[in-house]
Amino acid sequence: MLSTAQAKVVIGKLLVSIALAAPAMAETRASLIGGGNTVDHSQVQIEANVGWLQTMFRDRNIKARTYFGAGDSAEPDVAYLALAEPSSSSTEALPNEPRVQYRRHQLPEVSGSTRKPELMEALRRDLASLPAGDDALVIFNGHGGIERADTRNNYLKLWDDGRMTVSDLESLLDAAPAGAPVRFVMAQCYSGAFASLIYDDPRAASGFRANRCGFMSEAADRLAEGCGLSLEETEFRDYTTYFFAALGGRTRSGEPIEQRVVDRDGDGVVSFRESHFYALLSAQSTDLSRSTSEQYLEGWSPWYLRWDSLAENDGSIYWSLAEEVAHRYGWDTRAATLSALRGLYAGTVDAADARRALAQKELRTLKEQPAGELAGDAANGRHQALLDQQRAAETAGRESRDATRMLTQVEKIYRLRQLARLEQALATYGSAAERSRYADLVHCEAGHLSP
Amino acid sequence: MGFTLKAAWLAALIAATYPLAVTVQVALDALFGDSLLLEEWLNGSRRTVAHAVVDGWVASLPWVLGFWAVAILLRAVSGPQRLAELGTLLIVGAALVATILWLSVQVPVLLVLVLISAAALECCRPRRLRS
Repeated sequence: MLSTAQAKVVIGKLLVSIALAAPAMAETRASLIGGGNTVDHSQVQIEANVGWLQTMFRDRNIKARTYFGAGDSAEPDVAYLALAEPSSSSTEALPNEPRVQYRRHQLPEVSGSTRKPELMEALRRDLASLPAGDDALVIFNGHGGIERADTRNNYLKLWDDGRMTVSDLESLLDAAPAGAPVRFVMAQCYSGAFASLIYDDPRAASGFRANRCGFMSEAADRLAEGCGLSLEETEFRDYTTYFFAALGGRTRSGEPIEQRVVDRDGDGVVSFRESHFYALLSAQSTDLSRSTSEQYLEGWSPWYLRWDSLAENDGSIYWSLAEEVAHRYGWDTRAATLSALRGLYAGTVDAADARRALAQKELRTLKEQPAGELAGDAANGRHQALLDQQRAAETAGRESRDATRMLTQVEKIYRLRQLARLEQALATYGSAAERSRYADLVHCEAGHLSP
Repeated sequence: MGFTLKAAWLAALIAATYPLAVTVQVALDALFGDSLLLEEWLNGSRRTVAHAVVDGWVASLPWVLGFWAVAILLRAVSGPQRLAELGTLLIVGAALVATILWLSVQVPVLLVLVLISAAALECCRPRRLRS
């Protein structure tokens, strides 16, 4: 038996040895890149997203460096909408018509601009200096460009019309210490192309990097949501808004999100993968968001399985997500129902687009008429017609956008079900190496923000 | 029929194998699945469908040629019982599709359909080329 004093000494020694033996807590180092390529294309929503992320990271004690637009210079790098002053001198200015205004960004602690040479150097430095055991998170909030001839050459649009291609970014990620997890979140248009950052050679899809993974807002050939000029944050429906709301535990408007809703495996920590699932489930937007593991599955699918929709795999998380999305909108998931819904929304989009095009044509015709020659009732009639056509175009535009969002939900259900089938197919027909790569990607995506 | 015409006819039959198999798969998917290809054609991007079909057609060529070789060999060795051989091949293929659909046997349906298509189209060849 130990005496009380001896026991205290033993416990003390134990505590000291545990403290010394414990590895330092891994930390996430975030690089936040934001802004447009020119001031006209640097919408205020992008700035709001970056600011929101800065706040979230600060609240969670996560080290983040921000690179935005023109950086520290006084150059205006944000465009926003403000109501125009009614003008009595011109009949062309419609009342309450908002006008685009420009200003310098209002973000705190911006480390630099997104001019290509400056950003490349800064990111390389950030990644190279990543301490052992820490992980990197690269987030892009801005615009993406598409290379129609070959979407593997899609690019990030940087300040002063710079372009950072998938290959450029891949070469930067190489600067991170070997084995350090590097994750990326890309919310721009055509971002799906960046899924090939998991390869050393993105164009040839060779040299798989098991410690890299990411999340993209859209496919390599589709536009993404989130380039509005409005400051109404409750209306933001971009991928960043949903993904980081789940990670931060609060919606964009500050309402708490119950952890059990997001933490699907119930381990008490919300992973990046779970945040992505939350975004898939919650986003009533036009985005068909995707992760690298999902793109890997789709890319892997051999020609004889790509369009095979006969199997069911209700054991897959993707099958459950498809059911949950359908349930959210009160739809059943029978093929006939989904087909009818898809036809309905696709028809609505086409009709609204046709109405908008017609109204815009009428508007152009009216504006081309010489206003100076009209007087009295004729001038008033023309002004009223201008107003009517503008309203008609706006209404049709909103209808088209809303129907497109609903159409995307139906397409999402199709895609999620197909991912569930492909998961099963990979387990059955995939080679050991292919299954291992998929498992590595899922493992990487299941990481979380630290601390 | 001249040799060139026969060769061209054979090439056309081989080229038609994948489209025929895909057409049957679309019909099966419409009955038992989500009918992804048809849905994309009707309400999505026809360009995507066109690309998918062309990609699949090119990727399937090694399999198509392999199945044609099997069908031709079987017909060649079967001698006078050509139709019996072809019938057996079609019955085996149909049975495989049935087991995939109702017993969830893990065989890709499209591969079986390509085999059946190759066997079915093989009987459209001019007789002199068969042996």
